[in-house]
Amino acid sequence: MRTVFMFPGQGSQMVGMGKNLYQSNQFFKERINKVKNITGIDMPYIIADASKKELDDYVTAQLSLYSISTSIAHYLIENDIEPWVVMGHSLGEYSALVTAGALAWEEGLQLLLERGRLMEKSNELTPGAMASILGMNYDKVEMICKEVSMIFGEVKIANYNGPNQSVVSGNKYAVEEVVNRAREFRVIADTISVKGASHSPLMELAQAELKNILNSVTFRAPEIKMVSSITGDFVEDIDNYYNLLKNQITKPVVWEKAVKTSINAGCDLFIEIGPGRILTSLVKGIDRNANVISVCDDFTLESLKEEIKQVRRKVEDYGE
Amino acid sequence: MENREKIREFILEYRDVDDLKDDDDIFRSGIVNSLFAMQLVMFLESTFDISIGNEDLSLNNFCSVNAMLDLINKKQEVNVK
Repeated sequence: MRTVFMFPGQGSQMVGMGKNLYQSNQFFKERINKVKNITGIDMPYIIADASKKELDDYVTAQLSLYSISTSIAHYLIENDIEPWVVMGHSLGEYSALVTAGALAWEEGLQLLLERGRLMEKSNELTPGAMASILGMNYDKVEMICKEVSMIFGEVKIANYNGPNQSVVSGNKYAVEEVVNRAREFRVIADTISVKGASHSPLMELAQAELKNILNSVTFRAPEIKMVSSITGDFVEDIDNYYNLLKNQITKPVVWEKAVKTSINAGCDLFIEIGPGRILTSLVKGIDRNANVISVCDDFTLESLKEEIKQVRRKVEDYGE
Repeated sequence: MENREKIREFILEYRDVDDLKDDDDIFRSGIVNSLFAMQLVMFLESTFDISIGNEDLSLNNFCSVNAMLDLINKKQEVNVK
């Protein structure tokens, strides 16, 4: 069995997303408390009771997703469920790095705290927006972006998520115009609740400062394979990758390519670790036959543990 | 449970809205967004045993509860044939 751990990015946060696990899973609870002790941010409150508006804040969104994802991943590993490969969507890539052992958990926490703050600041200075488009191929979306950019300002594809599924990012008016034009073709398009233009050149200010911070962090060679959603390929050389990561927030996420790389490498179980089911639905959109599950509550987590144990027992029985 | 109720229940479980009319444009009214749309596609496929292709990913088929019911009927007719 080749298992993929995949970690969601901003936009997946939901009200009450960690409440169930915080109440039922001691390991998870301790981790979330630790986040509060280290950062001073009230993570137990955020994952259980924060409002949608509070969760849309950059720092809150990024830190809470990271905290939830890495806590569940570490819990699974403690219980002998290890991924063959890890991958993350946008900020989820930090959760993947930590799970792969390339970055220390505390360092990841500090980096995302800074990343969130810088993106927030960057968005105040150069405000932007994002929109998701379903039902139109990349070429056509790119063509519309090009036309709109000439009149309304910069807008580009920020996420190549799946066949006929993309997210665009850029100047607010340009993004809105892309939505309007896409809708003329009767496709499903609307702006999404991520404030600011992530993965677009509008984030250059944040990127420049984050580079300085990343310079002081040491990455180790990952102990678990990783497919990067910046390149869509396996990470072969951590130093090369490190340079790519420094430019991540102005570069698009190539999720479809990353998923295909995993499938081609023989991965047969995708586990989305964190709230929502966006990545699950994206993988299904790329390959209808893919085996995908999503875990973010006690019931699915414990059923997953049991299921994997059973599959292993079967494999062992056949092997003997 | 009736098809209509199944769809309503799925949307209402994910989205915190009090009132959902069968003709409401769920995208225009902001009840759901396009990121949620792919989950809607998966739900319809598995619940009603239909296959939704890329050519079906049109706002016309998903904009309201009624639109989705029409899509299901159309698809299930094809299955019978």
